[in-house]
Amino acid sequence: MAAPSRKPADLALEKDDVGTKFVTLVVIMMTALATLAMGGALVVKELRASWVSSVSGHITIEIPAVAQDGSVREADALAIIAGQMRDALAKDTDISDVRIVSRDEVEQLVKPWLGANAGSSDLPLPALVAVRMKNPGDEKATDAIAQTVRNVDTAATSETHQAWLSDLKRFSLVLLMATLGMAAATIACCTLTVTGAVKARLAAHHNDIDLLHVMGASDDYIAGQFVRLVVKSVGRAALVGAIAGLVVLKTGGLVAGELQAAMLPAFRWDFGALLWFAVCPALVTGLSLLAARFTVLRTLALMP
Amino acid sequence: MITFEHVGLRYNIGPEVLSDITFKLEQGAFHFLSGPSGAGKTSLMKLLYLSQLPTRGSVQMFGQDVSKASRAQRMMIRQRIGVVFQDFRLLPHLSAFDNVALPLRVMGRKPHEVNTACRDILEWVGLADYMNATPEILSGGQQQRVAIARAVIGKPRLLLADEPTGSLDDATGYRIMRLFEQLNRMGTTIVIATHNQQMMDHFNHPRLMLDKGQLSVLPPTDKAQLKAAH
Repeated sequence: MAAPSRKPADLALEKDDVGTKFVTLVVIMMTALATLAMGGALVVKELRASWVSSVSGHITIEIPAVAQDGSVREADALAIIAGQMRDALAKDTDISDVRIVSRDEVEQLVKPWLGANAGSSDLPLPALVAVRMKNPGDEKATDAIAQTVRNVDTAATSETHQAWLSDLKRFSLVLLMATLGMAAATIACCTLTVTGAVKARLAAHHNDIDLLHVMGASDDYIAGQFVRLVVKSVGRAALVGAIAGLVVLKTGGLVAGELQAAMLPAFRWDFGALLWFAVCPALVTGLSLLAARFTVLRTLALMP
Repeated sequence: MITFEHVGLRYNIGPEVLSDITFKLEQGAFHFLSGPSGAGKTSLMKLLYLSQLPTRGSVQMFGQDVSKASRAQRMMIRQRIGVVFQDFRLLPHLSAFDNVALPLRVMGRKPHEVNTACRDILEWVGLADYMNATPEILSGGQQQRVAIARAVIGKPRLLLADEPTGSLDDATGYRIMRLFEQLNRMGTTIVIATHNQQMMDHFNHPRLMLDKGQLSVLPPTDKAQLKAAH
């Protein structure tokens, strides 16, 4: 009779159907959750970058409708001052772009607070000039622009949005840490579950492990049997969980797109994003592998 | 080759199950290990196959003190010992071939070496036609032969067998004892734990007699005395 060609695992670890299914299910769910949390972290990261880039290096100059002496300036007068302001600033070499914010755009900005009739009311609206600097954060250039603004109109003010930007950065960092923390906690739970399952199997296969030990099997050889099982079953489950999480994220992205959630940045499914999501199954498998190996070696160390 | 000097063994805080055991086994020796139930035979066997370490005294195996040996050195000592367990301890999900192959795979032998050695040894024990059979479809005698094949495939210097004929009929038991004698002639030291007086009388090797944790070494019984007794 021909000898078997394929070498089977010495320990029948995969025969434990109930345990295997339970761990597989837990790993799939946990990895899916971790992937969602990583997706959340990615959205926050993108959001932070888009907020910062849209605000950083931008200066808004406000020419108030009410002059310093308390008199109200007409829209035409404000438009003339805004034109003088634009011309003065256009000469500044530190500025890459300067433009007058149109009356319509200003009305749109105040619309959420004043309602749909903001434009037609008699409420005096300020004139706004938007400036984009060549080098965001160049304090010397910012001071020079402020001086130019005061020279044109003493009542005009320039706003660099720094206070808001710094609050925004702090807030988004907290959000980012929270989502990454959630992902880390989920992966830790997953690793603990695998550790528990490995311990249960160590107890269930104690006699067989003892037999291998008596035959002179090294601790690495025995631990290798468990590690192979973890890599195979947990690795596969983690991959399924990550794909499930990505499907949910993609579906969520489509729904958000249909709802025109303009505040959220568009999700870019590029190589970087896929690499970011690959961290989850890789970490789940890697940490489970290490936990399994450590647990088996610790138990074997009790044998003489 | 194996020297026990004033060896004692206790489990946790219990009483000593083996006390002051002293004996020596030379290379190529063949001994029966006998004694009433609870005398400590299994404990002595565990000390011999390094499943337990002595709580006192010294055990020297193949020139090394097992208590002082490193974990890796103890692993190497175990690889030179073959064990046939009373309940065979075959892995139920593995075929006869894979059960027999285990010790060689544990030692890291190459697959073609393992294949050749397994085929040869299964032929030697008369199971060439049962290579792919799992233990559940083998008879007690066939399982016993798989266990023996597994114990000897690594060419151990010491072979330990715990009641190897306990669950077999007389004819199969005698056949297996002859296999052990064949191995012994090839230089393997053999220790067989048994209750079977008839077997011990028939094969007539020196006996390690254990009683209440104490050991005495008895020489082979005189043939004339045996004849008179029967």
